[in-house]
Amino acid sequence: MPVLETTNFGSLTYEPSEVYYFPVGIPAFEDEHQFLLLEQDTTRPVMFLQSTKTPSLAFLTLPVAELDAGYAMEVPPQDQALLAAGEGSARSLIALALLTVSGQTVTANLRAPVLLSPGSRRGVQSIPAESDYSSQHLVPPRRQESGGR
Amino acid sequence: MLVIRRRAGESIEIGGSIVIRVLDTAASRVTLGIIAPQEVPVLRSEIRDQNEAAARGVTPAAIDDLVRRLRGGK
Repeated sequence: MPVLETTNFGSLTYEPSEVYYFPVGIPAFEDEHQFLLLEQDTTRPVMFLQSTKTPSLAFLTLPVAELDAGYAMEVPPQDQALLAAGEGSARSLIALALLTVSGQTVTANLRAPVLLSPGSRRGVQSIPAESDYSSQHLVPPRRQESGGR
Repeated sequence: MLVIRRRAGESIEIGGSIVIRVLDTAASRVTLGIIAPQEVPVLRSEIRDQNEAAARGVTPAAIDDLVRRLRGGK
């Protein structure tokens, strides 16, 4: 199995079948076509998209439903084609908002989520022409439980 | 940078295969219609900027801090 030495997550051993292929990359990273989705019990609900090509390139993400339980979007036809997920498979897509951390402020791009198709192992950042969602949705910190820090 | 003044309804052509038409103008917003080959990505610039910002500053310490904040300090 391939082993990936990452900047942020140490050494990762993965099955090639776990890799998500992004046919057109991600805007600003068009040459990055392969990512691993990292889910860890200790970091849930935060998940990570780690490039298999660039050890230092990773995105912090949250499932859109964590930020808006009623989140809904129409996947543009060109993105459906890139995902090669087949008709009627939209419900099985994983939709992740990319997070930007700036000091103590965390924002999520709900307007242009990354969509992953577990069936076809393909991914795309979907950018609808029109959307009511914000590309800089403020992510509030969870309240500390009593007895916390 | 090439600067061209256009009114609503007027358009410009780029490279023979891309047409950008000004559909509407308002005080602070312009509505553009874009015709481009399918293989040419058309993108709001802020998406690219945001992705660069999202990838910047991802460090083990930042990840720990973010997770702690989003998990309620557990």
